[in-house]
Amino acid sequence: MADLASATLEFCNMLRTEHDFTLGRAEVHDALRATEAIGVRERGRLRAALRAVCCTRPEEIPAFDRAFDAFFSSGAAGVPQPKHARRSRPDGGEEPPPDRQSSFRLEDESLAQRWQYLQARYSPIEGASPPPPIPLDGYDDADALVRRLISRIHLGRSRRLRPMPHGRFLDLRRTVRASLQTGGEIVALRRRGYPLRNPRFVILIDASRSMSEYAPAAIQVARALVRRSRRASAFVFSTALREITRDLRRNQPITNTGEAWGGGTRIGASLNAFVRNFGSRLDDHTFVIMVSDGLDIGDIPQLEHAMREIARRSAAIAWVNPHAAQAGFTPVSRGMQTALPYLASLTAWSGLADA
Amino acid sequence: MRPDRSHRSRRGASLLPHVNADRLREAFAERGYIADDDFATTFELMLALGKPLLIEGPAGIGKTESAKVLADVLGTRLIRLQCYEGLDAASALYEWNYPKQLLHLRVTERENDSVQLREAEIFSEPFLLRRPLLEAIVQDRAPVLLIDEIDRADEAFEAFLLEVLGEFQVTIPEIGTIRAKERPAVIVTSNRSRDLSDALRRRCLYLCIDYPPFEREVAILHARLPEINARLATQIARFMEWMRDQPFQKVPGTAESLDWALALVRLHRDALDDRTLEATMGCILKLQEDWELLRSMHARYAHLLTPDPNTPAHSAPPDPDYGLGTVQAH
Repeated sequence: MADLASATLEFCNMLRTEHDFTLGRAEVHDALRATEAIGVRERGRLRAALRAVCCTRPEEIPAFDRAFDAFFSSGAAGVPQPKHARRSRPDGGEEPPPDRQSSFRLEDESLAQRWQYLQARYSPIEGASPPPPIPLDGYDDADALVRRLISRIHLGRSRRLRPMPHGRFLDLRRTVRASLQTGGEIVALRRRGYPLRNPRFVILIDASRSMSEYAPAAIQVARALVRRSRRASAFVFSTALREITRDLRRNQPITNTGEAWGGGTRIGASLNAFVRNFGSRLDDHTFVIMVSDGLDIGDIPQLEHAMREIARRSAAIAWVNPHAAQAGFTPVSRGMQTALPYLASLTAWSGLADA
Repeated sequence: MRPDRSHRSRRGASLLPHVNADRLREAFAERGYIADDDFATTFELMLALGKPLLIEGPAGIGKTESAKVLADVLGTRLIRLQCYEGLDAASALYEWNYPKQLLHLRVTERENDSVQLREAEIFSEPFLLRRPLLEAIVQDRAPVLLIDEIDRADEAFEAFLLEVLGEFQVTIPEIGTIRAKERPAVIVTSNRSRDLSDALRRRCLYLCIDYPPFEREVAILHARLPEINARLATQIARFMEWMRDQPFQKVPGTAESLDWALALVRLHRDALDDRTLEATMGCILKLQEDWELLRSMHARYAHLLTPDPNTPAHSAPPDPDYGLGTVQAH
């Protein structure tokens, strides 16, 4: 049992340092209690138990499973191994094997994942310049912009009742309490009502090559947005889509963008992916901001479908096109033509200075 | 109920019986809930550690049902809090019984009590209305507390839940802090319509469930509808497995499979064919766009259906039996 406990500790440590899991002392404590409760029965059980403790969201599960398989199947911590095998290890069986990254990864990855990887590497259109780290300059401007944006969007009233001097409903709790001062006689009625609703935001940033000049500033705005509003999500896309809300909120550099950064543009496909996978982020008080030049190399009917869906499920779509500032701009690119009927506004914006 | 000020170890083990995962799984199966190993292990852990469990996954795959079955397995009460937008502490935790308070003030008008005394009187336990969260905490025997669809409530409510889930205690300013006599088994479900805060996630154990694989779906159909014939169950499960890979807006879950299977059994169909599918499509797809999409993909799912009885048998491909044994006569 001591073996298992120290292996668990080491495993948690590895998750934290190598895979960026947020595991505090409380989580590690729970992991130990979990292994104690589940005991050495079989590998699958131990994995399910540790997963329940260490993971907090679905995106973490594949990384966890890979790390678990690499760590525990090697016999390093020896949990599912027969005893004699462990005893024969000279180092007490606590060291993970040095090559656990290289030797286990490929077998674990499904064919589809490998295929995607290859595609990303060898596709002639889709460049793969790594995204720049988020620069800190310009954040204050972006933040001011976002504050103004938030204060100007009105989406009706929330369903949560708040005390209000002239609200629609009687606030019995406060009325009764106030009546105590007057011997139980109600003199003044207290009221409550529905306050104004906070909008939700979705910002979709085109990070394709043609946008490379503008995307970093747009990322700043997205960062300000997700930090100002808990109800905001941010995405980047190029030929694929990736959510960056959490990276922005945690102030981390954006990595693993893969096909979501610096390639060609498939607005239609990316937006469809958004509707399919993140459609539930949209509701009738969601304000959608698209930052793109509308130069699409993808499928126009797909774009049409995605725009229709997003427009139907959201409060409004605002399209920010950096080229719209140029003299004589008309939204003639195929992408813009398709999207135009669904937009609430089309705005020019070429950088934070322009805000 | 009395404010319990005695110290109870915060990280103390749950007072719920320790149930082994295998037995839990069997008990769930007896009640028609077919779970996999990960699911059973996580539930065992939840009971052993006494921590809340956050279950995420698509709609209609038995997240809510799992709490109901758990309450039944443990032989305890299920207390359910359905979340909705605008849910506040008054509907989730407690509320004062205002008419009763006013009446009491009126009745005791002539007694010349001080304001403080009157206040203490009407803000006391007999005037308290317990809502689900408080109800769950004051039970003598640990109940199962289901906080359903937490993603529908707003962030303010989520923050408020943290105190309850972290400490299993509730503070009512007029009465004091009430600690749970027995830690309830808490199940929180979410459909991911909104990202939950990290603080809430870290208070909970986490389980992400997905649509059941083909074999488990067949088992679920048999468990819930013992009268279904094997061929129909297989066909339904195959069809659902195919459907879940298609880009429908509302992908059908297990709940839809069961509805559909029940409809087919009631209609005395023992196989899926085109006409049956058309007639019962409303059981599985709830959006007109999805209906159209399904119809447009006919060629791709035709092999999953039994050929129409009107077409001559010899031109039809043989019925696949998927290695699941003989076909029962209905």
